[in-house]
Amino acid sequence: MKVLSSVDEILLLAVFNLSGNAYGVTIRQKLTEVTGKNWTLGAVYEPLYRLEKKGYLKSSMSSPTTDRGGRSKRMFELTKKGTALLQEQQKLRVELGGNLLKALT
Amino acid sequence: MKKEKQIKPPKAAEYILERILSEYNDFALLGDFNEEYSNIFRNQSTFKAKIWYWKQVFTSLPKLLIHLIYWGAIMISNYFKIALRNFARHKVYSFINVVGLAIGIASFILISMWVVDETSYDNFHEKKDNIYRVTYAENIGGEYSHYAVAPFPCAPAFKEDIPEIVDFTRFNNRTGLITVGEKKFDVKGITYVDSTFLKIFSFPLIKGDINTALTQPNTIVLTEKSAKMIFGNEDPIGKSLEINGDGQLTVTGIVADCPENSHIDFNYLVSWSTLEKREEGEVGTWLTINGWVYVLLDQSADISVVEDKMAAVVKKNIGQRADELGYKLYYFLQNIGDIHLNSHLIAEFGPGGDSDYVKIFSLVAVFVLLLACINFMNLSTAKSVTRSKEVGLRKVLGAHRGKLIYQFITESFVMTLFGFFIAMFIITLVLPFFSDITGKSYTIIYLLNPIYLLSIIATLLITGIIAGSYPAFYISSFQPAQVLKNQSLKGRKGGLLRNILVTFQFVVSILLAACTVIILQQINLMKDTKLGFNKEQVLILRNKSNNIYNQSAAFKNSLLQNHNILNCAYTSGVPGDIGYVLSIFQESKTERDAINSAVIFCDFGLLETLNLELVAGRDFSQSFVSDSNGVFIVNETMANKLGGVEKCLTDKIGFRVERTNPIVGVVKDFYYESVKNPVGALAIKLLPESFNLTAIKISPKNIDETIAFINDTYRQFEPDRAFTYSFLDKDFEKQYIAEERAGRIVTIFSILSGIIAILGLFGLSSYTTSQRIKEIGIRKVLGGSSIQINYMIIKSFVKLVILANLIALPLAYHIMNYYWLPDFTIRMNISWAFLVLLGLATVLLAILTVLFQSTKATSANPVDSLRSE
Repeated sequence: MKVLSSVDEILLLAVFNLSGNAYGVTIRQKLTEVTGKNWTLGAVYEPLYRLEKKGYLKSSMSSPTTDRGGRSKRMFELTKKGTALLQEQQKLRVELGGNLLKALT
Repeated sequence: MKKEKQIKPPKAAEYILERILSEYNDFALLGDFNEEYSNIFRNQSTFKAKIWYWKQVFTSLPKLLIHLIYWGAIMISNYFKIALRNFARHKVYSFINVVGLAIGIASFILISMWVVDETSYDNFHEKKDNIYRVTYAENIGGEYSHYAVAPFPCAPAFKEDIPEIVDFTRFNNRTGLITVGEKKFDVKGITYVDSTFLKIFSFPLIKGDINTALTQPNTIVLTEKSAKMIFGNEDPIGKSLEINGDGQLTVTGIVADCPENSHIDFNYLVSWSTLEKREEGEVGTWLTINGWVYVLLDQSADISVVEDKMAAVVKKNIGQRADELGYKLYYFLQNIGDIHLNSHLIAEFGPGGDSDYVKIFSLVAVFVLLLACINFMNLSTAKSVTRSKEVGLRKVLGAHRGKLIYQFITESFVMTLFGFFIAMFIITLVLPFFSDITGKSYTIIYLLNPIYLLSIIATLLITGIIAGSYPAFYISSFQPAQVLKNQSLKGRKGGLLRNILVTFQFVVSILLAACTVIILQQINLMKDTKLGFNKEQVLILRNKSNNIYNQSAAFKNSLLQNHNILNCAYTSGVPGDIGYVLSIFQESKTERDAINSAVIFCDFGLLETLNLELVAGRDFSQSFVSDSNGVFIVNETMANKLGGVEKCLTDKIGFRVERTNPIVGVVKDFYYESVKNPVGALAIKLLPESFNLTAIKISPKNIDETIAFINDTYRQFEPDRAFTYSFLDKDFEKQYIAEERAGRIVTIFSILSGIIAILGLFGLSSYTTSQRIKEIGIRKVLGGSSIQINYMIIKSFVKLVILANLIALPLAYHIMNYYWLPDFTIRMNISWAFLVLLGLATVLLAILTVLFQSTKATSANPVDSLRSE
């Protein structure tokens, strides 16, 4: 099976988490919030494009809003393939390190 | 909500970001940036938001640039590769293109060097806008003469009465013998100047104090070159030297050598006070013209106002006397920047330039370059058929038209660059020769000047763009579907333009050639004109000090002992170098009726030496005792002014008051000046003690021996001074130097433009015959003879050349006949037969060029061309 890099995984998870409202700004905010690290838009977009190319994500354009200088948003969604991979990865984590959090406390 | 609408990121930054993101084709990203911006704007501050936005822009710039450069470099290297491959594949065309461009660029750079140099005269003076030369004109007896020189006393008088005149300097140029201890130097360029000279002009003083260097009597400032010559490596400051035995002068400074692009030239600057002390008072008078006078005007001075004030000062000082004499005197100001190219007054410092020639040659330079560009355009568009597939394919693969234009312009730059390297090679080779014909001393180092480097780069860019743009736009306009379907483009598209361009090339070349021929003919005509005196085998010796003067008879006798020396006479001037123009008064008229006339002072024998023909009266003769009191011989023009040949022989004339010298003879008019002007009045006065020159008529046999003999004799009388001689015919021809130079320059560039045009025709005909190779094959198969086919191909080109002749020849005739020739008194009649002959020659040359290509095609076996397909 394919193994995702942690950045890719975090991104996919963020898209999943934001379900329906995932686009550049929100994803970036989410990541900043969760990791406590400042992410730039570029750092978000480059892997997003890559993941889209690989077929784990798909995107569509939303209607424009005034806040964005009349630009539309590129909304990201997980594809079936992406969801499947995430699920597999998650399963792997549980299998391998299910007790990790407990062990530490 | 209203407020929110106004939240907009900085426009410039947004624009840049938009540009950057357009590479990704994703404008949602821009939207994200804008949203982030409004978030920060709302939550924090406008300032922080702006800072953030700009930071985003700047952090993304390097990456974008690297991206652009990386892919750009890949594309460019591809363009270069394609260009070089094309170059290698079409060797002949590329060779023609590159050689044509090289010749064009080389000509352009060479002519620009000359033009820049000619227009740079006196630009180095910091105060050049305010430095003016005082010129002087007089109207005596209805004859108006305008001089570059002026009476010296005017300068201090002007300065005293005219507040706008800040400073002045006089400039009196002499030759002499410099003595330092035992060493003696025969030198030129000893110049007496006012102490202000170094402050008005920007001749930098290397050693010495600019404020005191030339104030004291008996002080001298040397140029670096002359200091080196006289004192070697010693420090010359404080040393003393003597000029012409007139007392010791102390060296007080070293000035940089006078630049070549200065209309004045000097080697030694001697303080004016030296001259004043020696002449015990003011130098010169208001009614003699002595030398050049320069003034420095106030920044705000109005020239016409100053000239009016000058007129008032002249009136105050000399007005009454001038009225008595019936003279009208005028003083003018002339900016120093206008002197070299635009001033052609009497007694200029040296032969100046001519702004007309500068304009004409600039045009020639541009045209020669343009011809080379046209070759490139023609050959590229003709060749485009072979490139059409490539263009089609590139378009199919997604090349924008812009990229294609870019590609073809790159190609023309590659060509231009090759051409440039060859051009630099050509320039290095011909530069000494070019310096020689232009009379300048150019070196290749001249081109390392940043201004030149920049303009050369600009020339290359412009050449590349002009040569490349039309083919680029033309070729890039091909429709991929058409060219790939193999629908014939035939390279005939753009044929009309190509024909126009070829015709234009020939018009320019033929025009240049015709003008060249006319200029050369006119120069020959002037040289061959019967001058009315014998200029062959007349040797002119320059006497330089009193030694020969004191023993004049002895020197003459020792010369005449050699049987190869036929005649010899002392004189103040010879044809081509008259020296004096004076006012002459008649006994039978009043003191107010002066005639301006050229004057030669000479002793017995000048008429025989120059073979001047008498029309009335007699030659000066030692058998008439009264002759030694001073008698005149005048020329016919002068005789007519004096009232006719017969009448003047009974009259007496003289300078100013003493009008007591009889006229003993009248000589036939001869050209004592260039044949460019009609013969003017001339008076020859017997004055056996005035002689700057010795004119020696020698036999054409054993010339070298005779000169050696003269040298030996001269040495006996004049051991210190250099033996300087010249031949009268050569000296006289120096007057045509401007025309000769122009003639030579035009000859060279007309040949070059001819070569370019013929090269272009060669390439184009070679190309079109190869395009029509199948057609030629079919014609041959169907029974067409080689001659018929050759005729067909030649016709298409030759008609262009004939058309070019029809345009160029009348144009050349018109330009030369109405604009150039009217300047000459003796002028040729342009013969139409000759022009037609020239036209026929060009047509013949064109036929031969095309024939060379077409016979190759027509003599080939049609099977070879028709077999494939």
